[in-house]
Amino acid sequence: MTILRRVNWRRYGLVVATLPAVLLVFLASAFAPVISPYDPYALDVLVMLEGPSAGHLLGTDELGRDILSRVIQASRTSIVVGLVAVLIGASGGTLIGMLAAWFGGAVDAVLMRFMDIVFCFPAILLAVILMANLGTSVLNAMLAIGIIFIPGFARLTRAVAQTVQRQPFLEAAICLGVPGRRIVTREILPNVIGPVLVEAAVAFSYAVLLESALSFLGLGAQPPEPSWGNMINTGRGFIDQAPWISLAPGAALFLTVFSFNLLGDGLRDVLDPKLRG
Amino acid sequence: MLVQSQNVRKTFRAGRLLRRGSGVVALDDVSFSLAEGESLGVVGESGSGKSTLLRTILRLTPYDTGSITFDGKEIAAMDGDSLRRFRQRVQPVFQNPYSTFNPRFSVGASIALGFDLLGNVVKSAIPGEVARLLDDVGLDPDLARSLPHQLSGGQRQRAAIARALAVQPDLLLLDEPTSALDVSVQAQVLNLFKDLQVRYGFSMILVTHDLPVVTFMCDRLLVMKSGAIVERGPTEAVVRAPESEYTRELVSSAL
Repeated sequence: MTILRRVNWRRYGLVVATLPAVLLVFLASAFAPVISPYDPYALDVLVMLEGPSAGHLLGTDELGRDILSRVIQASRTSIVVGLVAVLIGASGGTLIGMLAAWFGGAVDAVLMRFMDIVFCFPAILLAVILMANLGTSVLNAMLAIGIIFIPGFARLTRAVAQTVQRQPFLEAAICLGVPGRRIVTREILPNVIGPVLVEAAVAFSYAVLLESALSFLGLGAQPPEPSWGNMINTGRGFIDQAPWISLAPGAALFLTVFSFNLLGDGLRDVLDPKLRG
Repeated sequence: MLVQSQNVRKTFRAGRLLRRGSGVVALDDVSFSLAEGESLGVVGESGSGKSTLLRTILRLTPYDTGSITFDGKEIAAMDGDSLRRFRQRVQPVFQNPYSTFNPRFSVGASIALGFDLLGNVVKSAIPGEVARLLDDVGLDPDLARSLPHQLSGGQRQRAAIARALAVQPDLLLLDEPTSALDVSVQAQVLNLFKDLQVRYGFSMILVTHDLPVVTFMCDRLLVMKSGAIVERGPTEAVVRAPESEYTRELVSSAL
């Protein structure tokens, strides 16, 4: 019990609290084939639209497929789309934001006005435009969501970098004769990484939500491949007789989005040097 | 002459869209010189251009016209190796001790950076040199492992002095180095500067709005108002018999 008392809860509390949910989502998607009670694609007309029971914990859908197995399988799509989209958005946005802040002037103006233009499009609309040109697939969904995230990360990075660049410690580094590249990587980047990670956790939950929205609209994962979005959409038609078809993936979506949002807040506490013991 | 400034002008233009053409004259025909080993005080109210003067000498703010030379070389013309050497010979200590260190690195790591850049000490000897410097500025060498926010304002300012001294500068530029500190700590830090100057032999330019600080620290004095030097001379003489109206006001308000 002494180890519990030695942990700095003000700093780690929130992350520790969200960890079970975050781990659950990641482990479920990693070991989907092992832990799924049924084949998520196997039809069984004898048990169509059956409510939750000991045999099918979350019931079955209109084709007799096991909902639990499909929710677990669908988590893979959500996680992969979320991770790849955030990776695209965070790396692209951080690079653009750092360039804009460091060079300033015309470089800054051109890059950020371009970001403003991308930012103007509602996320869903931009995704729909991209999908219309590139075709509907999970890969294109990742790309579309990733591109949508770039302006947000770029603005965040630029704002933080500009604040850091005005700090006396940065001028002290310039006066010491630290080379430009080293100032960027040693003085600015470490101060930018924290806010970017926090934003990444929140962006991840938003990416999962967007992917579900796209799938709900039929623009993401294509049937029979399960995704939370297209499962919710399918369930719409049976909402009176079999609400569990929509409710189960909806609950999974809620849990994921909620816990990653909290994880973002938790990461902010962990990375705040003022909360270090 | 270590530093020579001739007819330096700097105007900050206001936003390009509004008030086109107008601007704030931060430095108006500023000429002065600083000999090796000398302590020069620059006094003036806020907005008088005294901080801008420091920043132009540090080459953080470019000036419009005129010339500033360091050790005979024009600082605006420096680049590459000459700029790197200049950077290490001229070090600032800023006003605000709270943001003078990168919050993500330990104080020791920030001080070690200077030795690393200078390359005059083998890597394994750097921690020892950092400890020696911390001891020189009156800090416990164990504080090297602390993060900046764990130190008090006075401790941080001492650590900032240690960081500046790591590159063995010939000139220290102090921008209100004690005005953010408690009165009791102010005197300690000022005494520290004096002691260190004797031991390390650097020259100093001290910018402040606080006349008593200058009379304590500096042999010579410049009084600035609206970007121009309105009075200059040996500190004692200026304080005893101020010539300009503005200096008279400064002296009488300080007494």
